[in-house]
Amino acid sequence: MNDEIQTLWQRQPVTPTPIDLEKLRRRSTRLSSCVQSRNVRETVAGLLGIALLAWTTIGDHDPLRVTSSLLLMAGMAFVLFHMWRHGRASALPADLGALDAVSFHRQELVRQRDLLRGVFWWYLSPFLPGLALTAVLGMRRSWIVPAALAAFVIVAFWFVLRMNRRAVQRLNRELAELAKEG
Amino acid sequence: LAGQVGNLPTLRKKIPLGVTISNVNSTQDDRYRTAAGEYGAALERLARAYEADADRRRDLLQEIHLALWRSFAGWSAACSMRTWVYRVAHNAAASHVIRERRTRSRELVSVEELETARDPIQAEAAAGEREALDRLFALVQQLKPLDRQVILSYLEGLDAAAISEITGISAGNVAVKIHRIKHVLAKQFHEGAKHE
Repeated sequence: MNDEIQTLWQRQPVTPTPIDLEKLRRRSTRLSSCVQSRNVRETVAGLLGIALLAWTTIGDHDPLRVTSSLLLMAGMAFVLFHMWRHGRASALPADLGALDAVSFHRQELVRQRDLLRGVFWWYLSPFLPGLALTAVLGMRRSWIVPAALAAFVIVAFWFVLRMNRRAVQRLNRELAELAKEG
Repeated sequence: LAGQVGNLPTLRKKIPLGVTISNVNSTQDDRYRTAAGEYGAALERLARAYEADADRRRDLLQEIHLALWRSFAGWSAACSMRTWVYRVAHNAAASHVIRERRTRSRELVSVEELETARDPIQAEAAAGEREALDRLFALVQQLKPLDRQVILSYLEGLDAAAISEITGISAGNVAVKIHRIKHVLAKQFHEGAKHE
């Protein structure tokens, strides 16, 4: 029975798609520039955010307000740097054949898990000093705005952390399953 | 944030001293032509098993061929060409499955889960080869990437040692998985035959 299934599988009608080497070369170049421009777009968007914040700060003579803006800008810059360093999009590695499936899969899962696991430290906490100072500054006028801001930040942080914890748990389960295979 | 984690570390290509870029290119092209000629049909079958949608399948196949061509620039002959080709193809396809999982939430199962399931897929009567193949594809496409690699390699006629080399799964585990796969296949197709 199983030999028949193997034969059935191998005998299935296949019309091999002709692959043109020149097309492959062009696609390879296009892919590299596409990945590169996506990374550039993301960096530019982040830098624009920083520039916008800097622009709103120019001319402000209140040292505390300037400090809170600078802290927020530093937080944004840190997140951008971290994303650029660890989370940039890239094409598949050139020596994909040097890795067996288990190693390739493990490497990919570990990288994703580590990036998600540290999300509080690299994605959320850099904004905390700036946000805290902004809230304190707001209290000089009324407590409602800072309280609303604090509530919003807490809910947003909780939501991001919860989503990431779930993703990390799923990735850990997959890694544990993978460890049994090797 | 999910989009940010889709990258892979780029590994350096090693080009031996004294080898010119044009030599590398021609060797790379020649190796690719040989591999594509020898394993072209197997790669088509593999792409079909990983992607049911025709348009996405065409993209996946192109992606596999591109990964294969790029990989031959750094091929060190540390393993056979067959192992290399299947590793590249399966890794590229698994990467495709992981990517697609973010947009299409579909639960994948293991061979073990399939074996214990009462009726994993509808056992309709297989009136001919086409229906039997459709059922086989339906079965393969619901498997997790690693199990899918084992069953596809088995269907391609590779032995346990070769499958172990491609997947990195220990030979003992591969043997157990093949045993289970045979059981699942026999059950599926026997039930189909009973309905005929």
